[in-house]
Parts: sequence; structure tokens; C-alpha cells
Amino acid sequence: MLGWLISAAAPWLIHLWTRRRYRRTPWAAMDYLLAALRETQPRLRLEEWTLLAIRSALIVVVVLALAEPFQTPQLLAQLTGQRVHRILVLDASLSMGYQLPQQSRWALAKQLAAQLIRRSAAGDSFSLILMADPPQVMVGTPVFDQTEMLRELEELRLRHTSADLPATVECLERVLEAASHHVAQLERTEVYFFTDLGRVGWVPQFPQPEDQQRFQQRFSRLAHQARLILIDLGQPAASNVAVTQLRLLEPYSAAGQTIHIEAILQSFGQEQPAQPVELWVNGQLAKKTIVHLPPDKPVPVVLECLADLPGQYLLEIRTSGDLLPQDNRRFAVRNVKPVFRILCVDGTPSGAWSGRLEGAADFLALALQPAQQATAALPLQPEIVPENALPERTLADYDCIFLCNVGQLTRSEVRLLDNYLQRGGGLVFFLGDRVQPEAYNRLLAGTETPEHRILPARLGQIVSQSPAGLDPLEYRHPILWAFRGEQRAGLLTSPIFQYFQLQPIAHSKAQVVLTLSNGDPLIIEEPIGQGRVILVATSADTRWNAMPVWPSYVPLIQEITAYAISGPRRQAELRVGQSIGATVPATEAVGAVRLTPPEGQPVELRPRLEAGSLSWNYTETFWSGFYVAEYPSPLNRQDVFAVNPDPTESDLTKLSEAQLRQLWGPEVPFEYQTELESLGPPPPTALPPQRLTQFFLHVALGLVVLESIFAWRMGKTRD
Amino acid sequence: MEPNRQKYFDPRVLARLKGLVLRARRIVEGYMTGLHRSPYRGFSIEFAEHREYAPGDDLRYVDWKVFARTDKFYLKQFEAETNLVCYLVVDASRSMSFQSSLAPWSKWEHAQALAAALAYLVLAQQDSVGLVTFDHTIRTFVRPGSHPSHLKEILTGLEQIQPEGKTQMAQILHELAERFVRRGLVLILSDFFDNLEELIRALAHFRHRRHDVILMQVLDRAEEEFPFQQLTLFEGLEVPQRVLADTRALRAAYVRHFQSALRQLQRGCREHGIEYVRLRTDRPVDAALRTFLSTRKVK
Repeated sequence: MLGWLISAAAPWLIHLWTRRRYRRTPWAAMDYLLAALRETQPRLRLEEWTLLAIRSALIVVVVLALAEPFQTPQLLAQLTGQRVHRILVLDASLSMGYQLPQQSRWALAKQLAAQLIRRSAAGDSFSLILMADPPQVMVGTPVFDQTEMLRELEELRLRHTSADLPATVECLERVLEAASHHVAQLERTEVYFFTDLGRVGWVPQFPQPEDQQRFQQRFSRLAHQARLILIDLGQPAASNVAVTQLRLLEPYSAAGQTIHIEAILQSFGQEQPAQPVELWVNGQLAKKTIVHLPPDKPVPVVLECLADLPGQYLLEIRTSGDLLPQDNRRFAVRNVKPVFRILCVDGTPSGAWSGRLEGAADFLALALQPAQQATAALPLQPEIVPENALPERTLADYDCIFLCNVGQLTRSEVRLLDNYLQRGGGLVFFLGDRVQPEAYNRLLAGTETPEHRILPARLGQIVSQSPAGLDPLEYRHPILWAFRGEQRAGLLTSPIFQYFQLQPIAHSKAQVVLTLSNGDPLIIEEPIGQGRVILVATSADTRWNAMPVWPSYVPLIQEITAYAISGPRRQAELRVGQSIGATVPATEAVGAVRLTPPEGQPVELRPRLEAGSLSWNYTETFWSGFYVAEYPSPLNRQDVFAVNPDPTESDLTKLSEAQLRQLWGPEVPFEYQTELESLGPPPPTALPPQRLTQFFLHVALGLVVLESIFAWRMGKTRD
Repeated sequence: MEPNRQKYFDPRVLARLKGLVLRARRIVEGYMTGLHRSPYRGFSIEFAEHREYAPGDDLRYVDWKVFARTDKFYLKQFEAETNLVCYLVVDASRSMSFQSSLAPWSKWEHAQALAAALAYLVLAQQDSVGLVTFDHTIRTFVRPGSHPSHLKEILTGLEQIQPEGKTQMAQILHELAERFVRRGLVLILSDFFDNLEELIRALAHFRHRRHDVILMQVLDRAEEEFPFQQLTLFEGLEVPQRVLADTRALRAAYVRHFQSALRQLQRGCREHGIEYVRLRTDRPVDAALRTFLSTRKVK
């Protein structure tokens, strides 16, 4: 309808058109005509333009009246001033999913926010911030349209993250700054927090005391810029049961093996004598058990399932029976293979897998498959090849590659290994007397090509006078976790005669796993691409140490292999809010990656070319569950990411008003409410649209009268 | 004036007549039939001075004695060859060509007919009449003569001219005031759309040279009343200017300016003892003759 406003130009166009229609006449008395024109033209022009403006205004007003302007009350209110900017901050942390008798806290928060919008006066503006981790400004620039704001509110979804109060305050500062630029004549600003006042979110932890002081000052400044109102939707004695952790006990699984899943359950607040726990595999209930949960004490539960076939296993632990369902599930993914093939490249081969243990990799192969004779179903399948056979092999067929006392590698071999790592392979270097440190440093340690560095450390000189004993560095690294408390395994007493002094690469992700007693690193590892590299400073056989004949050798090799196979991506548990992504070699030239989140519609992500690889990244992992990334041809594969909720949100302990006032002090004044008390009845300025139409029609009538009088007066002066 | 005589002066009728002779005769004869006494007068012959011969001069007045002495032609000038020497000064600028839809003929045609009639009348009274037409320069100059055949010369001078060019009346009148040696009656026919202050000064020049002056302002009804009803593009006749005007809104101011100019001209004439007659191309021409004769009677 408002498109008709263009017709306001009609009087002007008609005026211009009529000026094109005139008669011509020759004229003698031009002097008198020009004198008359000079005298009358300014007045005539003013009269004409005034009349045309009245006619245009008449059209505009009639069109506005016919358009039934629903939004115009806001406009009128804007014109008359008295505007309030209301910033709605909705706590979207996981604990807001707590079910009340009628609805969840989250639904109640949305309902109250909607009420606040509806009951606000025309001309009030709104902004909307989601308090989560990270927080998100949903509507930054103030919006006057209540309908649009309600629509925006309706589309909000609860997240499974915690709440980051300091970051939310930063968002508020930005919104206030933007509002001061966009809204003139702002009477006041009100900030409404719709929250359960969960202790986790509202008592932020700061690494330094100064940070806390700075935050307090910012919050205080905010409280003086705007009126703070806290709408408390929490319940003081809310209990909750949650699955707070999930761990797969085996580092890798082969077909036919059992997967053991350890879940930690905790009941917050109340004892749960018979809490059901379920294991779901690929969407099917696989196991169910009942556990007793004492109050506020984590209880581990181990459930198992048989991975009879190779493939991707989507594992989920569920519990139920409480009022916060969002933290009752936890997820993991396990890739089950028929067998894990290990390629052992031997720099000093014995010639054949003869059992004479002459080659550098012979002990290694034995450690990888220690019970070969006992069962054929072991998951690790080593294969020893001489170093010149490396280029002939398809490395992608192997899950892990050991390089034992290999003298040096060619550039093409280094490229093969680099590609292998980028795809997620595991690479383990054992050194020895044949190793040429200059060649290693040049081609593998990045001296020549830093962007294709493979080794986590440079090789120094060979040390022959080795000190006795090893330092496990408090068993901090996952490779050594298995040795914690297992002194009899003999890891720390393993005799080392010779080793290369390793110099870890500065500013890299390399981690020292194990050192000698003098502090020289013995094992260093680093994630490279999607894979891992582990560098051992000594040999894999008995030439430089007696490790292969020591009891710790087999478990150490097994743990190194497991860690190398598991890769960096598979090792860590993903939390909501953490980004997910992957890198594929640029040679695969994949198109868009289709990512299906646990809730909502699939999204298409286009990988970006970075340092010779194609990588994609997705940051909106605000909901727990399985995120499935599908790669188109030629890869034609699927990656599944298990994203889990933030367990800190499962503790529903909340702050009371008094605690909050004590925490913030008098510098942060705020109003505390449990419902929308501060808002009175709907404001009288919210005019119904009919009345506004009448208003415009009255204006139109006035303009008609004005136009008639003006036109009559102009006509009179012309007669 | 009797109603049946009106036809002699009605411009609508006169406009239908071809040729100035016919028009002049009709005007004068029509006027004569209404007079009760003859305007004819006698004349004296008294030598006044010599002047050099110019082509077209009557050879009868060549002083042969002087020719015999000096071998040059001189004419004998008399103090009063006739009762009256009448100079017809007619504006032939482009503004005179204006004719609105309300008028049967243009201002030029009106002035032309009137000048012819006056010449006819003067010659019929045995007086002398001369003719000057001008725009920004003098375009025709016919010396005064009293012979009946002089009428043809006057009429030819009038007929050969088409109005064009821009008026510079004051300058022309100053020049004529110097050239008209013999005191007489100067009759100026024009619309007088020019700088009036300069014009009045030029007329005063004539009075200074002891001429009697009659101003006959020829106007179109449209120029006086500005009767236009719609948007009109006015194209200047003497100035290269075009003006698009809302005539209804402009009328009052235009008429005020126009009447003010007329009043200024009238006032100037009154101050210098000059007869002023306003003529309109849609009205009978007898008013001009009446004014002329009444002036003639006084002299």
C-alpha cells in the first residue's frame, strides 16, 4: 500500500506537463511585461509550490490512512519522545532447560520476555542478548517493531553450554554504545536478565584477582548507565542427575572386540537409589543397568558392547528420571576396523621375519603382536619392510608407521609421509646408529622446509654415557597413564646406553612424554595435520638400550601405537561451543561439505585452502549430540563428531538475592524480581490502528480545506 | 458623430480597402462631410533664404540668377509657402507590426492609413506635408511639399516600408528636430514603447525649435487590456527574448505598469505643451483627424 506514496509526485508532474501546453504570441510591449514578471514571479512561484506541496501532502496522508499503519504508534511515540531502550538478556545456558510443573525455565523466560515486549509502550526499543558461552548479540541495534522482536524471541533455542557473564557484560556495553548512536532522545535504558541465577554462571572464575576487579568496575559502570532488573527463574532446592563424563577404555577397537565405555554419573542434591543407565549404539538400546547414586558423588559405570563388524559406532550413555534432560546424555564415536595394519620400516633389516631378532624392527614387531601364536584375532598386524620399500607401499592402507634406524629419507619419501600425517596417520621414529642427524634435521625437522616439518625435535649429538633411570614427568602424558602405579613394569629402570640428544622445536605443539634422569627427552610427540608423530631418542632394538628385554617394552610400544593411531582429533572429548573441523589434502579437491547438526537443518560448508590443504571449520556447536560431516566425491566418506554438554551446568546450585548483593556489593545496584512486577498495565500510548487511520483522515480533511482556500485565493489574485 | 458616418472611420471597413489612396480618401471625405465650415486658407509668398538644390526639388524654385553668378543650383526659400508645414513622423519599427486577434489590422497599418489620410487632408488644404519613417535610423525622408502630386510621393514612401528593426526614437527625434528647419506641425505616430524620459526630452527639443507637436500613440487593445486567459509564451518583437507567463496572474501588474507608462507620457506632453492622442487599432480613426484639425485651427 505504501508504494502508492509515489503518487505524491503526481501534482508536480501535472504541473510540469501543463507548463508544456501554452499558446505563442509575438509581443511588442516586452518592457512592461518583464517589469510585471519581475514584480510578481517570486510570489507566484511561492504560491504555486505551496499549493503543490499541499496537494502532495494530501496524497501522502490519504495513502497512509489507507495503509492502516500498525507501526505508526511507535513512530508517534518516537516523535513525542519518552523512549525506553529495553535490553533483554536471556540466560540460554543448559541449566535453563530445567522443567517446571508447567514448562521449562527457558520457556518461562521466553514467555516473560514476550510479555515484557507486549506490555512496553509504543516507541520503546529492544535489544536481545543470549547469555551463553560464548554469548551472542541476537539484536544489537535497537528495534522498535514489537512483532519483529517477538518473532526473533520465538526463534531462540536453548543451548547446552554454560553462561559466560563477563563476556555477556562486554556484549551489553557494545549494545549500549550502539544504542547511543542509533536512538536519539533516549529517556532511559533497562537491562532485564531472565536467568536461573546458577552459581556456575553468575560467579565467574578469573585467573587473576585484577581481572575480577576490572570486571567488577565494568559491571558497576553498566549498572549506572542502565537500570538492571534480574528476573530470577531458578528454584533453590533443584536436584539433578547427569552423565558428567564418558570415556572409551580402549584406545582403538578392532572388529570382533568389545568396546568398554566408562560413564561418570552424578546426582546433584539428592540420593538416587536406583538410577537407570543405558548404552545406546547406533541409535539402538544395547545395554541397560541400574546404579545407586549417593548425593553429590561421582559414580563410574562401565558398560560394554561388542563391535562385531567394522565401521563407525555412535555410542551414547543415557539416564533419565530427573527434570533436566539435556545433561542426561553423553556421546562418543568409535571407528572399528577389521585390523590395524602397522608398517615397520627397518633400517637394518634381518632379511626376513625369521625370529632371529637381528633387524632393528624385529623386537618392535614382536611387541606389537606379542601373542601371535595364541590368537589370530589380535587387532595389530605388523609388517616389516626394508627402507627402500617405503615408496612402493600405499601408506593409506596402514594405521601406523614405525621408522626404525632408517639412515635418511628422500624428499619424495618425506612428501609421502607428510601426506600420510595430514590424513590422520600415526608415525613413530626410533633412531639408531644408521641415522644421519643432518639429513633428518634438514628434511624432517624443518631446517630446509619449515612448512613441511615432520619431526617434533631436532637431533643433536649422540650421548653414550647415559644416566641411570627415567623420569615419567608425573605420568602426565596419556602414553604413560597405563604405567601410573605400576612400578613393577620397570619403565623407570629401563637401561638406555645411547641416545640422540633431542632439541624440541620452539613454539610448536611438541610435548615431552618421557625423559632421562638428566632431563634429556627420551620420547617427544606432536600432532601434525590430522595425525601424530612420536620420536624416540634411542633405538627399537637392543643396540642402544635394553628396553626390548625389559618388561615395560611391550606395554610401552602398545601405548605408543594406541596413541599414534588414535590421532589428535579422536583423543579429546569435544564440548559444546568448541569448533569442529577437518583438513583434507588439496589434491582431493572436495566440494562443499554437508554438515548435519544434532538439531536443525544441514548446512553446507566450503573448505578453504590453507597451506596446501583444504580445511573446514564449524563453530556453532551449541547443542550436544552427533555432528555428521559428509564429504562428496571423490572422498565419499563421513566424519562423525560427538559433542557433549558442559558438565558444570549440571550443578543447579543457585545464588539467592542476598548472596548476589553481597557478591557484587553496593556498587552494582539492581532490582530483583521473580516475575514482571515492575511493568504496570499496558501503556495508553499503544493506540489501536483505527484511531491512527482516523487521525490521518482528519489531517487529510484539513489539507483539503487548506488546499481549497489556497487555490481560491490564488485564483482570485489572477482574476 | 452620426452613425452612418462611422463606416468611414471603422478600421474593419478600412482594412478591407486595398491601397492607401483609397483608405486616405475615404477617411478624409468622411470627415469632411461632417464639417460645417471649410478649413481652406490662403497663403503668401515671401522670400526668406536660399538653400542648396537637392534631387527631387521643384526646378521652378531654382534661382537662376544665383546659378549664373556662382554656377551652383540654389533654391529660393519662402517664409511661408503655405499656411502650414506638416511633418508626418511615423514609427516603422518592428513593434508596430503587432496585431492581436482583437484588432482588424496592425498598429503599422493603422498608423500608415492615418498618415496617408492626414497627408491627403493637408494637401487638400493647400498646405505642405512631409514624411519621415524610422526605426533605429531614418528609413524614408520625403521633404514637405504642397503640390497635389506630392501625395503620391508620400503614399509611396509609406507603402514601400515594412516595419522592422528596433526603435531608437529619442535619437531620431533629436536628429529630426535639427533637420526640420521650417517651423511647422510635427505629427508623430508611434506606440512609443521606448525610454520615455529620453523621448520626452527629444520632444522638448522640437518645442525648443518652435514646432507644434502632436503625439499619436497607436496601441492594440491587447496591449492595453492584456486579455489573455491561458499560459502564453510571449516572443519579443524588438528584443530576442521569450517569456512564458501565467497571464491571469500577471495581468494586474502588467496593466499597472502599462498605464503608469501612459500617464508618464501624457504628463510629459502636458508639461511641454504637446498634444497627445491615444489611438487604438480597433477603434475609428476620426479622433486623430479631429485633434489634427483642432490644432490646425489654433495655428
